[in-house]
Amino acid sequence: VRARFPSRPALLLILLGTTLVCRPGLAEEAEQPDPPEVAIGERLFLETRFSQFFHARSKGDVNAVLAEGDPVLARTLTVNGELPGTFASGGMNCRACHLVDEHKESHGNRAYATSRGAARFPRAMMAARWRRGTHRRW
Amino acid sequence: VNALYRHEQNRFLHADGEFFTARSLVIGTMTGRNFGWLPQEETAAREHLVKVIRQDDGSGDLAKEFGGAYRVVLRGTAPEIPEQFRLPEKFRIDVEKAKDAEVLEAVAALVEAYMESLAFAVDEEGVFTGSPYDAFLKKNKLPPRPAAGEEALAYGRRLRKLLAELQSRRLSLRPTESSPLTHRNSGSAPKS
Repeated sequence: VRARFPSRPALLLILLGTTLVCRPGLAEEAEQPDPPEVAIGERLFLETRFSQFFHARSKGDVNAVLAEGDPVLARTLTVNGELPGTFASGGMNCRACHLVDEHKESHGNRAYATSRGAARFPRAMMAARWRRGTHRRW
Repeated sequence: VNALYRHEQNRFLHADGEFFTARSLVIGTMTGRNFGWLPQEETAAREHLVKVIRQDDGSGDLAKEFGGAYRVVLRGTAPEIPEQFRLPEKFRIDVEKAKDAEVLEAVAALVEAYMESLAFAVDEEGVFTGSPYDAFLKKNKLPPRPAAGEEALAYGRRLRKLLAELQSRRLSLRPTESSPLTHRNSGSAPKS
């Protein structure tokens, strides 16, 4: 017996096509790529190799891949508890303190706001270095 | 977001107001305590940063995503650089010939450009539209910014008076009218 109505996949295609036709401005609404200086600025914002942690472990090879990330970044602290760290496999970068959508599903978009955990980073890094004996008291 | 908004006064960067310009913030942060460097290690930190820029071989994930090795991308002339990562001349630098301080300044300028691009949503008149506060003002037909020639203090007093008048009625914005009211529900989330 032949179906009276289009099959479900066909119906979805028809609906999708109708939606696209009804929105002629869709192409214009597509997000434009960032200007090159903004894109490269974002890359630098995300770069983890500028950190002292990377410097101390890369043995002079700036292209080294570290076996372990900075333990300071292993966790993201929130007022409600801890989350997995977002840059746990690398060193410190700008973004680690100015999160965006890393924890979007559970905590929403942070919009680059300084995280509660950010204040602990310098102190925690210095404490870690002190324990490892890599700096003198200052 | 909006950290570099053109404040007329009282602009400060980082939570403690340590910096006034974006470029000093970038250099000070990447070579300072936030990145794990001690105060007496500033020279080593600067040298390390410049070394990463000069010797990056483009093999990392960020390089693959953003156009290749730093020295190639920052020079901006190689034909293999994708168009979306080909820097305008004012941002270009030959890191192999430039002094360390010039490389640092170029890095800071690029991050500054990125920071300037992070702005909250505005309408065609430049009025902020994305936050719960903006929605509240609009819903209650309150002025979203000072009138032409109006001092900020005068605007604040005018807004306070209008709010006082509103309090005699029921404020019309309710928490359940929520679509633009939280970051989580924002339809115009900042780029990641």
